[in-house]
Amino acid sequence: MSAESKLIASILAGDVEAYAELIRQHQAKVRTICLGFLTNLSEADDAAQDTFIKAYESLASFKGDSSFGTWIVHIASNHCLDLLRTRQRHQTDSLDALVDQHGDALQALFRKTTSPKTYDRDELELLAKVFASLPEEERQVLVLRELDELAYDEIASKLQCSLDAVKGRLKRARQHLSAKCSHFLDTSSELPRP
Amino acid sequence: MNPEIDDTLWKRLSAVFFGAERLSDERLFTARVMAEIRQHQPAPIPWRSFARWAIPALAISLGSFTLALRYSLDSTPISAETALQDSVNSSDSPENWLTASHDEDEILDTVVTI
Repeated sequence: MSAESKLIASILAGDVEAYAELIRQHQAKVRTICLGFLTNLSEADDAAQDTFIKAYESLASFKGDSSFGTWIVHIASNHCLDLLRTRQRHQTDSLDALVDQHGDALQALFRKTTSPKTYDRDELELLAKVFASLPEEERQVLVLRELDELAYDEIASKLQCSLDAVKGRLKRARQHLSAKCSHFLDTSSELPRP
Repeated sequence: MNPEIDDTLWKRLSAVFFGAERLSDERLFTARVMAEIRQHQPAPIPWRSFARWAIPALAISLGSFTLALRYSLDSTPISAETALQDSVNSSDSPENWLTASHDEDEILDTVVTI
């Protein structure tokens, strides 16, 4: 029995406080997913909180076929997609304007070498702005692929679009971010030798 | 553009945008969620989900068993000998009737019934 299974078993046996450890372990990914979808820090934190409460309520139905992390990330993405269907789109800055205004902060974010990689609220705000600069369709595909780690066909099914649309949006999203932000990376060490 | 470089670049970019391992305010967030859970949510005791289907299933089983038992008791077959014996021992049998004393009205009633 894994440590995670033991933790879940003790929560199901009535040790409510043990759930705090699961929140601690998985909140970075869940909150980043919510931020990626909603692009607003307080809305994202509310959605992440709802996600953890939903997961707690349905913990007895968690079969353990996948890890708790995979399971809760699916809950988070479904919850955020539901929220997006009902809310109005926000006005956002272009990625160009963002790079102009927050170049130094982005530079610092890219050069961050702490391990484990720990972000503060200002950095999360900056990430939210970067995500918000992408068109919503591209952002959704990107988050589902990078954080929910879904296959193309699963993304297509979830977003009710074609496989080609998924591939196209993902490619465009990556191109947008690479074009505007790759210069923040020191790429000299990454170039392949001739 | 070389796709190999693109891929390497993307992995590094992705690690920045999606690679947060910890958040500086995680204690605060954890406390906030736990407060909400303690206040509003009952603990997800596993027997609750078990009981959701087990109690109706048990009720249906008991009901079916009771009905089956009643039906089998009601329809116990009676042999011909038992039936004859019962009719001989019964106070309404013709032999008993003939040996008993009756007043005129009773005899008249019986004749009218026949």
